[in-house]
Amino acid sequence: MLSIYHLPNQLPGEQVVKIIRRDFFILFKKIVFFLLLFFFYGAFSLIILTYYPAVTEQIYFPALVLAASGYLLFIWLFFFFSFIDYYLDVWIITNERIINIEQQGLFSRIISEQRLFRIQDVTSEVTGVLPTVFKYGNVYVQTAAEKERFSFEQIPDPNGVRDTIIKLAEVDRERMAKEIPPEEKVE
Amino acid sequence: MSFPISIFLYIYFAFLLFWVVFSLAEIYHMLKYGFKTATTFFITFGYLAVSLIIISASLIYISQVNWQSELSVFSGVLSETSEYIQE
Repeated sequence: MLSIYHLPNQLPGEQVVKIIRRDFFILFKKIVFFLLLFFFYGAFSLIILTYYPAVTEQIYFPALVLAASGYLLFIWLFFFFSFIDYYLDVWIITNERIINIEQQGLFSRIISEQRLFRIQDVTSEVTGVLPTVFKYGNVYVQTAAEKERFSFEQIPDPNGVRDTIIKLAEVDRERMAKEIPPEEKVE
Repeated sequence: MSFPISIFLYIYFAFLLFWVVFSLAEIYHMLKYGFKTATTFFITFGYLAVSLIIISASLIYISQVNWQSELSVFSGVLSETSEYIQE
């Protein structure tokens, strides 16, 4: 299990500044979707039992009950799967680096990291009606070494996160500049 | 043509097997990669509890049905009633 006190490959003196997941609204949308599926099940059952009560005496009724049970288990399984997809996607900002942990389905997991002093450009992006209303969006981090951007997706307060990363990157660059490499000390 | 309704039971158990495999994979991911927090344990426990309720209710119902009853198709399709609830 992950612990904020024991990050993967933790550096000496490294402290966690922020742990970010996707905005709660993203999870809320998933919850509403699955509640609707449960609601359809309840409404369908109610209609059948109210208008066709004789269905409970039919020989095929056990098959309907098994189908209903299967349906409930199926949507419950996929709700949990959907929650895991949300819950295990994490971005961790420390005073030394940013870590991206992304769960893609059940059998694919990507962990990447960038050192703060390498960061060249940080861009926040809020596009669309819902992201604007609920104040969530993306943050893209560009480093010197990588062509590909490091992205934080659908996170709350993207502008605040951008500011935090910029400030931490400046502090980290100043710290790195003060640390003179040992070979330069030898004349 | 008629066939025993136990076929539905076998299909259900096959589905249940598939469901158990995926549930175990999900719980494994949750406990291995989730943060060591109360939320992780609470959500996992909630998933197991609700699943147990659904499966228990289904199994209680399943145990009351006479699965040897036969369902006739193509002869007054699905209209017959049966005493499939065991006395």
